[in-house]
Amino acid sequence: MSLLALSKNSSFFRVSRHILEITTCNTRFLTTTPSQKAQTVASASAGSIANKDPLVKTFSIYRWNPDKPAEKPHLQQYQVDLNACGPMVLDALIKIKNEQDSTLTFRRSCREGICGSCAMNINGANTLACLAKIDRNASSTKIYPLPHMYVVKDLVPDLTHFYKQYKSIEPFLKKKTKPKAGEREHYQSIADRKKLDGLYECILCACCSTSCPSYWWNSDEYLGPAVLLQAYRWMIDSRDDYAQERREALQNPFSVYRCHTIMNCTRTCPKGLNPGRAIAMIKKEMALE
Amino acid sequence: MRSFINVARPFSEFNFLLKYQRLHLSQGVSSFNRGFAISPRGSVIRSSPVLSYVSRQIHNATPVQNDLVEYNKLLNSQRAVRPLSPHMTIYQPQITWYMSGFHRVTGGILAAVFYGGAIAYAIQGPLGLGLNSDALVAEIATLPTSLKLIGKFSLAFPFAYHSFNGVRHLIWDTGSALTLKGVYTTGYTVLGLSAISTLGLCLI
Repeated sequence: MSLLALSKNSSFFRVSRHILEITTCNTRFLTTTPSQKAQTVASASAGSIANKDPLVKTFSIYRWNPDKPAEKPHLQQYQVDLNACGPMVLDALIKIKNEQDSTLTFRRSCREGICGSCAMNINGANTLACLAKIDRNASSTKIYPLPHMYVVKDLVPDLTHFYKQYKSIEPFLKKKTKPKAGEREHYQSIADRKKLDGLYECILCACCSTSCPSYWWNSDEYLGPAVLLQAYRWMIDSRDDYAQERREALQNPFSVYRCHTIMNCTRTCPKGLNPGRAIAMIKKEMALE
Repeated sequence: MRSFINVARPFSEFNFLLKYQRLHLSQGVSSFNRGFAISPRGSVIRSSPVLSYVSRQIHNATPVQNDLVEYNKLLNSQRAVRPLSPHMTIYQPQITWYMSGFHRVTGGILAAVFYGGAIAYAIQGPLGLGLNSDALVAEIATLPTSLKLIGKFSLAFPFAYHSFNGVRHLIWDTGSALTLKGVYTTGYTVLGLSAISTLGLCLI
């Protein structure tokens, strides 16, 4: 054995020992026995997709094409092998679009529940496709656009009116006094800041508003849970000076009082927020004023 | 403005700017755009071949406007035929909206019975229908038990459910029990209490 070969050999040995060290370190960390560890590694490296039998599931998806308006909306079936697909409904949709039907149209962006683009009705309830796990036991999943909205195409609803309503509540900080010279920030106590928790997280995906039967029937004048949650968010902000004016703007039979505490909104919110409670708080403050 | 025009920018960029300006002109977005459009016949604009092109573009300016008109036409034609996405028929049955709907239905039934009964009683005298308590009791006593039970149930259940759910709504109006857990706990409580009360009322 030449010196070169020896040195190579020894370096290889060193590297492999290094791996061994990492493995034992991990083993201690994960509290699994080395044999278990080896098994996991083996199955992962062998390719879990190839080894598993295909688990085919049907996705029934709402289709409507604006270029062929005479054709009525219908459900189209797609077969997806769940063992060759990511865990979420959005993964399945993207897989269908990539591999089976590129005309399938839906909105998506962040794939982690922070943009609100992929809001749709999955198995009857509104949620974000990226946060909805595929039910592996059920044989089929039904996907519709957000309920009672005008459809632009397939799963894409027209949210123009929803955004206009959001704009109407003036969702920004309004002050009656100008900041003094040298003052840069509007300070807020920890307790006041805490009041915004559960409100500021809203991503305006419109899941709650389109789950609300009252919004289905009265969306032309009723603002709906999402927008009212935001209205409340600005009303209770200690830095905002226009809480009373904001409430006065809602003082009519429709804007807020079409809420009948149905609570579909809270039930469906993919972010776990409570628009129903926010609306009740607005009503309470308006009643006591 | 003058310096902006004098810097002979490439055509494409001018085109883009003009398109942008024309698109926003009708909406009156900014004074800059408006100012730019109002003075298209300035001497500066006519002084060079480049700017005479620009001037022509400003005077004609139809292609983009036509684009916009076409675009709006298409949009409006598509909007006119847009379907409404399915709602009540596909939404998951949940205790939240089912109980709310039921509250309204039972309220309607109770109101119809109450007003119907009151009006019938008010007009029966003048019309001589003979509709009084004794006649009703005698009439109902002749009915078979099964029919009596159905009748009792269809009055007792709406009354019990609507009353208890009404209390639930009053609790909500104070701002309490408005979490998902609260909604479900109170919901099942109302259903349970209504069932027991209905049973009790039916056995009277």
